[in-house]
Amino acid sequence: MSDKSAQSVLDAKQLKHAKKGILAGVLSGLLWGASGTVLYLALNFRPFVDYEMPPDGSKAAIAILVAFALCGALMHDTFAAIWVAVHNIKEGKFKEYGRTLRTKPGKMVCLGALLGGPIGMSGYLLGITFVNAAYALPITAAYPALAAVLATFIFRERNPARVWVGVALCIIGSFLVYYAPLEGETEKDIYFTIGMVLSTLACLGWASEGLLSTYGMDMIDPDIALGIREGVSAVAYFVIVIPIVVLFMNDSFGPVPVWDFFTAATRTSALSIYAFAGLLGGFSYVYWYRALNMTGVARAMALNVTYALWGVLFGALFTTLTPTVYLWLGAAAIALGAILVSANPRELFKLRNT
Amino acid sequence: MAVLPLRFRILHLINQADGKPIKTNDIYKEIFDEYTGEGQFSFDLMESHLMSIKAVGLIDAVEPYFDEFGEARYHYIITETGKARTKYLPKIL
Repeated sequence: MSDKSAQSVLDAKQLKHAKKGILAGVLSGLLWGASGTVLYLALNFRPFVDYEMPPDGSKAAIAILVAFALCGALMHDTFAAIWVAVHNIKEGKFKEYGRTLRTKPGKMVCLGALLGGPIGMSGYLLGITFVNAAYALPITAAYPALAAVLATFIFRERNPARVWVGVALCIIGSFLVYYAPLEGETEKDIYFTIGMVLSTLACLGWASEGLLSTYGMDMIDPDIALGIREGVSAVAYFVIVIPIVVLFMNDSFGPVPVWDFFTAATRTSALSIYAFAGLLGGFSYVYWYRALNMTGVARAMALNVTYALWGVLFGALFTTLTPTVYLWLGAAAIALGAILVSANPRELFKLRNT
Repeated sequence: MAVLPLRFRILHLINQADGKPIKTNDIYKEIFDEYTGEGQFSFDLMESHLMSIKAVGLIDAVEPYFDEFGEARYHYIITETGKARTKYLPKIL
């Protein structure tokens, strides 16, 4: 048989590999949207629903909501780390954790985890807690645009006009989401503003995580990179983030009962909800990292950010939210803008040379 | 020699070939003793790693051939980007 026929067999194999990467990218966006909605729904279960809240907008109420959010972030990342570790053990990859942690790219993933976990995930959960996930998700989906802006200033990267059009669309989309009136309310309350600002913090955390860990991550098995990322994030919540937040907020805002919620949540139905959210979130990341490796950063990122739209859809289907036209338009503008930042639409479906 | 993460080892081996294309089957034979017995290690997983490393531009696939089992395979060669990344390989190698 000739080299030519070997080439055509291999082209088909390579194309199949890239198509699997596309599917992984789509799944990563869908599962992230679903996990955000489940995290939001967890707040309707015990122990949170039992809690007697101080008056809306008071410092004490804000402290309680911060405790809800941090408890959620801690539970989500801990469960995600456990699910991914179970998956890796089942695949016979457990020894790869130690081997990878001894390398420089492994250490970069750890550092990225500190930005993406405690900063990104905390901002995201705080956003979900203060506003519906359907509002928080589109805002966080603008992270590729923020990454492009950061890369321009920090690494002096030059971006084509397409990227700046994408950044502009993300900004317009964010304003549309912000100005989308909440159903049944004539004006936005303080929680909406806090939630939107904190969702932007998530965007910043994930953008900087992306900048840091993309370089060098090409060499790491994506399942292992993710196992390390979620594990480091979970440990950081236990030993750094929560103790610091509790210490600093205690004086000015009042008690932040994260540990009380955590202990209570482990004994109530909220535990299974968080375990489910961790499963969805963990596997969203598994598919996201696989897509990055199988089909390239640009395509994977473009498909991942569709979670902005999935989040609104799941919010409409499974929560009390009735999305307004502004919310749909804003989410669509952010998703489109993030796709433009990530990839040239004309190249997006040309898989032959992947 | 300390055992490297599987992907690092594959890249390391292709880099060691010093610009000469190396057969998929030879990569498998070369690392077989180091990873055999680990649940993760299979020809399919190694080939999937090769395709992923190629997708991110660290190696190139060249000179297709049919192996002794009649399966179509590639030779692989390190790219300039891949060479640059080998600085991340541990110094003990």
